[in-house]
Amino acid sequence: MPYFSLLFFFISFLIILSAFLVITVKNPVHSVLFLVLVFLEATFILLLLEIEFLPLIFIIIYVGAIAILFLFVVMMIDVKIIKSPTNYLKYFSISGITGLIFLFFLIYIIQESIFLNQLSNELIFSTNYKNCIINFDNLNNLKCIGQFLYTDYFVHFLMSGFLLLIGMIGPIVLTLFINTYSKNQFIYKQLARKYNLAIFTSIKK
Amino acid sequence: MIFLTLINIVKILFIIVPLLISVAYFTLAERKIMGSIQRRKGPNVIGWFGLLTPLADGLKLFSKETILPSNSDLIVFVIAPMTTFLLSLIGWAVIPFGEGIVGSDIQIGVLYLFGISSLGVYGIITSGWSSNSKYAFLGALRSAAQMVSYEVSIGFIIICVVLCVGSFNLTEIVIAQKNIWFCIPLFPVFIMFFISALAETNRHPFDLPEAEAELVSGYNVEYSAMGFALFFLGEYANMLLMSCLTTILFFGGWLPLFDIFPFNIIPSFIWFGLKICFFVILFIWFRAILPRYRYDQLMTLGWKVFLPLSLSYLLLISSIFLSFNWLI
Repeated sequence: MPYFSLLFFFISFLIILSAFLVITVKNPVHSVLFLVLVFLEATFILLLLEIEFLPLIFIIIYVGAIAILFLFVVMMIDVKIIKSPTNYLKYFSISGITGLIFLFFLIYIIQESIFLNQLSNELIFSTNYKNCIINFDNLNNLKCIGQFLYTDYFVHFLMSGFLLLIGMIGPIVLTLFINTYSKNQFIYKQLARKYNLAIFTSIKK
Repeated sequence: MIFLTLINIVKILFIIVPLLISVAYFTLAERKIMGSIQRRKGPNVIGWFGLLTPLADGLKLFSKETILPSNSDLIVFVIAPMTTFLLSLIGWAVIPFGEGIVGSDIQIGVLYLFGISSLGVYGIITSGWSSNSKYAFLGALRSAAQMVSYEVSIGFIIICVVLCVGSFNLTEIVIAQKNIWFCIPLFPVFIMFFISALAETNRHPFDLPEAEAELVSGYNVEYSAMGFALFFLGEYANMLLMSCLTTILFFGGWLPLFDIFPFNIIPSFIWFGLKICFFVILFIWFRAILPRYRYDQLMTLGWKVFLPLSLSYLLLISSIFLSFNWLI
């Protein structure tokens, strides 16, 4: 499939380009917009690999909610755009070392786990695996994820839910400040008023 | 290869051109119906009963000068209306217009529509920021906050419907309503969905982003000519898309009112169009009769009323389904 791989490499190149622009562009709002572009291109690659469910969730959560909150915050903060060129080489030593370490890890993982397992013929042609693959091939994308998530990995699913809950409670506790001086409108109080208890009737008596 | 591409382009044009025409006549219908509610004639000069007015409007916008503010962020400023317009068009790819008349019948059509509508915020927020004007910026912030907060409750409501059907496919959702439309068993959810749809499309009584009295015209003050026209078209196409979605989720899509003789000889796409017209008229009617909400009331309604209510309704439905063993 030459078209497929050509498209794949083109979009991967775009991802790298826009990820690079995220950190080099001067205006912070532009860098958030490039971040959104990175998300969208990643979505496109996932769609190209015929994964349907995950990219749409990606769009709804990351692009539709999180990146918009980023944009909101960045737009509201009055950021001065730095005119002088920053010295990127200053950070090169530490970032280079970290990057190299991650690169070695990546190469190690790819060589150890992914390719070796796939290439060994015994695994692919053993009947157990064949049945499993046929079983999951018949299901659609959504049901496949459901089958795994709610049976084998339900502990991980629940744990991630709790983690997100803690992540939500933390900021609320930190930022909650009830202002007793400001006047609020409570609709239920207004609706609960009665004619007999109103002030002007008591004055009349 | 080239032949297939050509066929696909023609297919897309067959969806988009009628859509743009219906958007044009939506604006005419809005002015006419609001005119008759306020006891005046509405546009009646150009064409027979003013039927050519939208064309004249479009021509006027097309022939005006495009003004680019000198202090604006030019690239973002130009891209923003295009984004809004494009996003309002690509949602129509998955809508089933009639029995078997659908652009692409994907397995997760509802999620696709939801994703597209959540992307729609970008056109508005970038246009407001790039105009470099206080009014536009405030309008964009308001609009984005409103759309994001009402999306949450819309998501829960859609999950309610999906639970009843057992599929994310729009065609299957319509077929599942063969016996009874979902607006009857899920009536409160339907009402919440329509109100959220009003807020999501920045429509009256939630049209705070373009509150003329305070913010001139909201996020699109600085736009003129085609930029403004693209925003306008995008907004109205979104309204049509929302009424389509309401029809599919709650009003049985292309299904006839009763499956008996005089009703079921009418073709399915005409039924679909009639149901969309019903919701379009509701959109216009609400604009004519309801006053604008205050912004804190709007947020209270979104976060403190609709979110808990839709969440608890989702729990109710799923527990009923679980206890009667109805889950598919």
